[in-house]
Amino acid sequence: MTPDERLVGRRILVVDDTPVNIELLAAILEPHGFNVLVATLGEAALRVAERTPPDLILLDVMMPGLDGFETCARLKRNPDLADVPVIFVTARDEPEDIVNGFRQGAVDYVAKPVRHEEVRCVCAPTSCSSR
Amino acid sequence: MGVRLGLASTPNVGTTFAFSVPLRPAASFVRERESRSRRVLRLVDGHAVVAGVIVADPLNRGVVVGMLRAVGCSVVAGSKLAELVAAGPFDVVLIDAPATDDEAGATVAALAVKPAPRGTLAVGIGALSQRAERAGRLAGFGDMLALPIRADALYACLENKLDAHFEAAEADATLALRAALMPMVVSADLPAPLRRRVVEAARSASITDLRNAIEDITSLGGPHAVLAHRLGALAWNYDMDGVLGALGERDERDA
Repeated sequence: MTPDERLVGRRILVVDDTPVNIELLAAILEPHGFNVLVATLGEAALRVAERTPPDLILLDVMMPGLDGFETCARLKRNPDLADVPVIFVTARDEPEDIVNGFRQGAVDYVAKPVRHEEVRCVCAPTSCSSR
Repeated sequence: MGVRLGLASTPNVGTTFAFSVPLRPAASFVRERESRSRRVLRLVDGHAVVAGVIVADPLNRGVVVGMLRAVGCSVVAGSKLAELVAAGPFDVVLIDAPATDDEAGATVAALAVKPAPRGTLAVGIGALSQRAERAGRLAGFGDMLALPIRADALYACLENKLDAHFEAAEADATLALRAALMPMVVSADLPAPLRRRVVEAARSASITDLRNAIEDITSLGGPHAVLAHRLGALAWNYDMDGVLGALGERDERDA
């Protein structure tokens, strides 16, 4: 697969406490040219984002410690990171969960199990919108 | 065996037959369940596994290859069976689940042409319809793995069917792993540009840049390959602090 010139080097922070989920998303994103940053906890995600602001954050909801909703809320309260788009990637796809995600500032919502084309279609334009 | 049979009959109502067979859980199920609570790190020394991967979808192929290489398996990947068989023999071949009995039979026959010393284990990968599962099992596939592939299921398959042994760590054992690896890592003399790339990748938590740098270290060969292997184990755990500590680069910014 030839990387997309527009996407090469764009940083996507994948936050998930399950390594296999991170590997799956990395396997989808890297061939398109994305640079994948990782964090396995909400607290770690905040530190990584502060040090290396990503172009997009893919955020799991159910994690030990800070859950995805709270992590998103804290990102949005940080003026330096408030504009970084957040997409929830989670198995929790009840309407109230989706509404809660948007209330915390997410721009989109992807249900697990993820599909390659869906992730690519959602991530490509969103990551380009932040620069 | 402890089998119990029962019969209860009521005139003008009917008859109920009942039986119970006490069975122990299948060993493979137990091992797979146990494997979910641990993190497989790498093959134990002396337990080499040479794997062939024939999966048409490049994404699924990449995931399977990545999972195998991450624990130290030697992997050859492709999309055509004939080409891959020529590159063998393989201890295990992971292949798209067959759609028909004929396809399954042809696959097993092709793998038998150039078997590994202990035979070549065929493992089907796919959505696993009943038809595909039946075709594969009848033809002699040793196991079938459902998509999306899970690392714990893949490693459990290798343990159960190939008797491969893995080093594994519970989540709390990450620090112990880091401590065990550090002296060996620090002792390696890493070229400055590569060292800088590893440090920058770890500081930014970029698994993409870190793995690319580790690949380049691997290609240097010799003692650097050992270093790459150790860094790879830390990267597999997303242990960026461990990578920095191993190179003596961890400072207050990383705390």
